[in-house]
Amino acid sequence: MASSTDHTSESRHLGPTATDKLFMFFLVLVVIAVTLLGVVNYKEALKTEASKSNGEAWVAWLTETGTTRFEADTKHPACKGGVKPAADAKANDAGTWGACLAHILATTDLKDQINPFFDKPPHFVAACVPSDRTLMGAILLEDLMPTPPGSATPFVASQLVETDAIDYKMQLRLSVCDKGGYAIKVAEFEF
Amino acid sequence: MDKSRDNFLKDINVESILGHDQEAQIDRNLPMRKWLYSWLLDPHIPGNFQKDLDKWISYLIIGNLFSLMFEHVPAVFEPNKTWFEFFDIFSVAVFTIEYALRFYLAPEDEEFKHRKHARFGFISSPFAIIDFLAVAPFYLKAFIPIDLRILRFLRLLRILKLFRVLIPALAEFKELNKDRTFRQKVHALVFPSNYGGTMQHIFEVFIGVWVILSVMAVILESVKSINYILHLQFVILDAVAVAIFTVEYFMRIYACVEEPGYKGAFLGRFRQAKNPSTFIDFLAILPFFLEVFLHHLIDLRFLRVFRLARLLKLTRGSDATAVLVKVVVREWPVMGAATFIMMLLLVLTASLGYLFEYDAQPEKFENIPTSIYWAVITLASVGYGDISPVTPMGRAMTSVLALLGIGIFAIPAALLASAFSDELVKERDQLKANLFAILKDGNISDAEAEMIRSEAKRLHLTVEEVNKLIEVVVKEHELEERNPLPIHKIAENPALAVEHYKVLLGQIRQLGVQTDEAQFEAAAQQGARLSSKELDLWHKIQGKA
Repeated sequence: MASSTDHTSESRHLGPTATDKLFMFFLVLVVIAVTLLGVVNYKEALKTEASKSNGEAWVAWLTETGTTRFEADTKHPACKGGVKPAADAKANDAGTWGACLAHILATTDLKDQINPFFDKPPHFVAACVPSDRTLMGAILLEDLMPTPPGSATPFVASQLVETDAIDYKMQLRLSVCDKGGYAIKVAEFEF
Repeated sequence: MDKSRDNFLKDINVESILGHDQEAQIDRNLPMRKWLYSWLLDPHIPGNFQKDLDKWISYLIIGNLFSLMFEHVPAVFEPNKTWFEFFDIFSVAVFTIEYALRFYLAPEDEEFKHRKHARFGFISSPFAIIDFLAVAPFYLKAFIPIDLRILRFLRLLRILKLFRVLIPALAEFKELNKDRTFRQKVHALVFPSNYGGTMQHIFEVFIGVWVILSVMAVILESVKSINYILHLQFVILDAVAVAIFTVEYFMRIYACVEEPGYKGAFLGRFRQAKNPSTFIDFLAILPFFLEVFLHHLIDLRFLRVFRLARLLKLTRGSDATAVLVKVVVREWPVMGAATFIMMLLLVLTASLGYLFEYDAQPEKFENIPTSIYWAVITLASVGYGDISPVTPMGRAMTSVLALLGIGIFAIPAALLASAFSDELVKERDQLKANLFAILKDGNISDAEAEMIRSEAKRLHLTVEEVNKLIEVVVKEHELEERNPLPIHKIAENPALAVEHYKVLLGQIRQLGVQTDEAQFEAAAQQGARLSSKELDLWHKIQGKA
């Protein structure tokens, strides 16, 4: 067993020496530094949490609207289901996701959301890319199209773009891009 | 075995030497309160339940801390609310019983028994106040509506109960390190030594718990559903773990100069920093700092996996790991040779595979490096089957190589196993030799008991195994006594030769005293049994010349 028995007689100054005090000061500095870095990490993590909250708010709104949008007197006519857009429909044409999105951003609380990484409203992206730092806090909304029985994957995911039709009961997946640019899945839901 | 030897063996209490649990010697006829105190709370009776009680109460306090932490996570708390409440009720019940027990047994406690009102002395003592504060909010909320946050803060006070274990350990540490410098005290805390006591053990357990917690956090972080809920908690936990490990790292670097072999303010510390276990400590904290400082330059997410290196911190002080490292270092040349043969076979197999299979499957056996993957999988008997030979020559070669692979890949494993076993036998022989020396005087001193204890712990020997070793050693002592050393062995050592000569002279004198002088002379002269010179020598030894 290692022991320092042999060294006890070396020093007669039993109180903390100048070196000891310097070491203690250094230790305090280390603790302060790690705490500060921990706080930096925590603040960054809070931004990710805020992005997740943004995503959760979108999921909540879309899920709730999804239950009533096929009814005749739906509160949000721009997002009404069963309205088939034309084949060459533009972004804001009735029955498209673009029209519904414009309605949401104009009339609901979701318009006030802030992307905590850039202090700007969050934008919708096609994919979260780790190498692209501008995508932090962005929202990725994907339409999950079921594949034919026997396929290797149960569905194919593609970004819901503004010209896409929303006339049918849709299976959506919402994710947000985190600090590293990776997607964090918030939820899969029906709209 | 003679009677004295029986006593000698009987006197050795291996269990007490090894520090194993022994049954407490408590008189059944003691008054109830005294009897209960002796079993449950008396810290001076070895073998009673006092240590176990403290240990389990400590676990419950730590459990409460975790429960409190998870209560702040709605996703965890809400679905398991009932379980959290049950745990809280259980904890309060245990803490209340503990408090009531200490209150009832206070008149038996050394600290309070001499006071006029022992129980009042108990309830006004700092420990009892902490114990009271740990349970009071639970009962208070039944009568007074208390804000949940205040209630949770008050429950946090339960952690103060740990002082019941910490303060005696701290007092022992102070006592052990009286008249020692600050650096020596730091050394005693972080390195195993005779000065560490319980405090050093607590420090090691504390670091071990944080290693396990942080490694569990790294593993759970990879589960997306869990990370989604507990991301913030993981970030906090990592920062706290890094702070603890960083302080520990610098304490080790600072105090290492007190270790034998690490003297020198700079060189000693540099040697310590290069030490594998300290390097592991460094690796355990490095990813955190790199990620904080460099995350905006490159994606350092992969570094998080390196936090798992913290698990290696647990191998510090593990004797089994030390033996394994020793064995690998010792067997390195042989292992190197086996590895060389393995590599040779691997390249040869890959080349032949490429030669025979390329024409038939150019997409699978594209080149020799690709074939090396197939060769490794085949030789190691894994056989995924994603690449397999189709030509007759390829298949024939694979059959031979698969059989060869079993032997070739088994060599390093067999070498290691055999060397490991040899090392253990050698270390046990060393312990046996030490026991032989220790038992020579029939007495085991405290230092010798400590040596046996640490060696038995290091070699993972049970009480029965140490008993057997001692029996073997005692038998060897007996044999040594019955069969004295051969004359040529005695002749090798002049001091021993002189002693032997004195013994022989003594025996001759004893013979002269006990035999009849006249009859001896007559017998010696009869038939010239002794020459005149031999007889003169006899007379000289008997002092009659």
